[in-house]
Amino acid sequence: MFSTNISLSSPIQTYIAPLMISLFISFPCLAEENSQFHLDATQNIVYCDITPSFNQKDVIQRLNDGTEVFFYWHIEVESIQNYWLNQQVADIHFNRQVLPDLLTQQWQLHDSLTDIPSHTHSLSQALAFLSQIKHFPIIDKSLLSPHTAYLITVSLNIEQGKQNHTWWNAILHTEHTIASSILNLP
Amino acid sequence: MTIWIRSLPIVFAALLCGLTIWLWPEGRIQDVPRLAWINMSLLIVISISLSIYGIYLLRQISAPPGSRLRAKLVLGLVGMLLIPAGTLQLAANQMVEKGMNTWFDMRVDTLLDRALNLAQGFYSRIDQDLQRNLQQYSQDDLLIADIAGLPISYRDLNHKLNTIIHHEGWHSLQVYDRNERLIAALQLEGLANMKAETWSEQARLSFALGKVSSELVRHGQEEEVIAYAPIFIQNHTVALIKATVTLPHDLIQHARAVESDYRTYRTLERDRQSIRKTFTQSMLLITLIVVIAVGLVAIVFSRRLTRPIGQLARALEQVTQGDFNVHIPQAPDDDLGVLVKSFNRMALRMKQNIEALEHVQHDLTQALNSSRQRQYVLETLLGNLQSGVILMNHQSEIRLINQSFRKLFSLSEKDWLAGKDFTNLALHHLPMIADFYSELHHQQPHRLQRELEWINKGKTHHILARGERLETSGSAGFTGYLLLFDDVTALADAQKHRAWAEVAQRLAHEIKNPLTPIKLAAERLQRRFRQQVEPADIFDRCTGAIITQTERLQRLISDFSTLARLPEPHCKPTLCNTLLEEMRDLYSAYPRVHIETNVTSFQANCDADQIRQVLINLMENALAATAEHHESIHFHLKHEGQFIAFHIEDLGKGIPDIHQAHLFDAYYSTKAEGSGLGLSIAKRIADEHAGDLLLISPQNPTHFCLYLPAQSEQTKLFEEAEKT
Repeated sequence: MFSTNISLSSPIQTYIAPLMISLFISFPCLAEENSQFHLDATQNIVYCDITPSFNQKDVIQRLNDGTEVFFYWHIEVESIQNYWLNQQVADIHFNRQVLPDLLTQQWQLHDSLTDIPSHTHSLSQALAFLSQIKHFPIIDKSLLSPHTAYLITVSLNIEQGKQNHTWWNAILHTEHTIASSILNLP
Repeated sequence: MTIWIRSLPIVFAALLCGLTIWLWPEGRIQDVPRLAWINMSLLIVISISLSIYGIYLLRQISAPPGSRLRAKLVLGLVGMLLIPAGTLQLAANQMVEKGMNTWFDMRVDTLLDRALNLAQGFYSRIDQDLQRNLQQYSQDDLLIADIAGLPISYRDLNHKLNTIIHHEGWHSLQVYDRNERLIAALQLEGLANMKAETWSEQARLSFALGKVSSELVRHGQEEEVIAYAPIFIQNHTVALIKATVTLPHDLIQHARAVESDYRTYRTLERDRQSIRKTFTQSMLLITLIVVIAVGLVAIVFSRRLTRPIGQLARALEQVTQGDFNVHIPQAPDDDLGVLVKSFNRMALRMKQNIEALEHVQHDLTQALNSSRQRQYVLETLLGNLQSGVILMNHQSEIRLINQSFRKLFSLSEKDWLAGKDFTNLALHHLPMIADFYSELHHQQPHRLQRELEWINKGKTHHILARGERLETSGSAGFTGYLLLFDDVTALADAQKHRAWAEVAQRLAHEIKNPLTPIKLAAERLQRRFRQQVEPADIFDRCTGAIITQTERLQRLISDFSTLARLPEPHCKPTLCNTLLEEMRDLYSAYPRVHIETNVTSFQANCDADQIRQVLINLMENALAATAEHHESIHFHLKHEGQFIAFHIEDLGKGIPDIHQAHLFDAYYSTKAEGSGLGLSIAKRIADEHAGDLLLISPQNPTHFCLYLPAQSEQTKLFEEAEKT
């Protein structure tokens, strides 16, 4: 089998369709319960492992139907303040995307952090690419103060179809907090 | 505004609440499309707004002018919109439902699956053929020998590659050594446009794994299938063959179109239910937005339309309350503007008219006050006038009548009222007044004066009647008759008494003087010539008659003198019982006389000598009336109001009717030897005591009553006793 590099573009697909889908159709995939979140602060960098709980059947159905699926990840590190708003220390945004090619029956994978395209013929690999964050570096420990509590929040938004960075997308963008944890450095 | 219209927003709000509950999205909040929440929010906002407006309307005691029309306009416009909008939404939902059933037909589904399978087969077939053929060529010993041979025979290699390209129909064929250097290449359009390219990830993967692989590369609208095949020599990968097949442009377009359609179809099919809901929600959103927009436009439009009407209504309310200082400043340039301008002109004209009316009213009020003053003076004058006055119009309708008239003729206030017909009343109650009025009505002169006799309760009254026919003069505009009546009975009696007194004095003077010598002469004759005259009895009768008649004439003269010289009564409080006791002693010789002396001692203000004379006169008359059959005489005393009444009753022969009218006239007597002055003197004494002497009953019993004014303190005591 072979890999694909396809980029279809039209005004309807670029602007109107995402707006309409965002407005009119919900994507009920997420389930905030039972998500797994693990922090590793034993090294110089704080790592995390995230396995969200979501409706895999629905996502698989959409991938099989040829619909692009995006996982927008948002990891935020805040210093906990007792009498004021928490102070933001780190704010990480990235997304992972799977583009199905029905003709060649393969899934093109794209990670916004590396920007290296890859593809796979395995649906399970594509699903794992989207949803599993393994040993992800969050922040250098040198940026954190000892004896301070930090709140690490992981939010996820699952979208389908063509995505564009329009102003209304930013307004309509909805994140769902799937996990959070407090980090206390010695 | 009626309660039904006032509660209409509440009803609408309740209906919208019901609609909101009916359309409330099911499932988790995050699973519901935002559009549904937008619609729910709009519905809730509209419901709350309508509820607040409805509560405001219900709490409003009086609706401001124009608000009713404004509310009707807004509700009417929104109602007119809601009906077609609801119908359209229902029809559109049905159409979408049917359209979707048609669109997502099973045959379409199968067709798309087959088309996609066909496209996939096309790609798969090209890929498999390319890989299989390239793998066969990569295992060709001659080709391996040409590639691996040293030195490389480029001519043979190119010949070989040229043979393969033309045999397979590939677009290009390139051979790389293990260092990714191009050692041979051939393509259909020639080598002029060929560029050296680094290996792709797929090429490196194929070389590293030692397996044939392929990838699809897209250049603009064109797609190429590129296959990689490693060349092995003694199990070592020494080279990589890259074969490129350019896919037909038309086929690519069709295949991608099929893929796109399949993707869209599947997406739509998956979201079929959502699309239907989305369509419903979209239509609802559009309807709500249109309703809100139309409602706002209706409010603005109705406000603009009803503002002049409200101003007109307020101005009319002011005018109704009497404030004519109204002016509506804004006048739009339309029909309402014309109405406003007309109203302003009307208000100005009304204000001017009202001012003129107020001026006239002021003048009229002054005139009325003056007239009322005159009327008051006239009514007071008439009320205090002793004369009876009655005013009739030309139709004999009573316009004015005073109390003295009713009192004069003892008339009822119930019958004799203003507005009654005088002619009918007069004919029934006062015939002589009716005759007088008729005479005035028919005679030529405007004025008429007559002295009328009116007998009331046996007493004759002399009435001086004067009439005046009123003709239209000046601005009075009234025609009718004015009648004035005065009771001149007392005046007539006084004139009569004065005349009789003069006659009496003259008679007394002329007759009394010769009577005494006549009587003395007759007695002298009787004494001197009685013995000498034969027969003596005749002489005695003649002289006796002379003496008797002379004495009678002397008594008559004495009565005349008494009548003429009746002295003024010297009134003082007198015990009436004393008078009665004197009378009892005086007439104790008559057993038929019964005199009741009252236990209560009444006091009358009178001259005891004159009253005693009256009582004796009355008693003598009673004795004379009862002399033949000795009927009983009853004499008693009563206190009647402000008077002390002496009642003398006898059961004698009574007084005939013909004598009753002249009973108290002087010289009127039914007795042969009576002078006819007794009752006349008694009546005069009673009158001069401010009392009265009346014949109560002419017979069975014959009843006379003498009224004397009682002492004032006595009257008070009597009234208190009556009350207790």
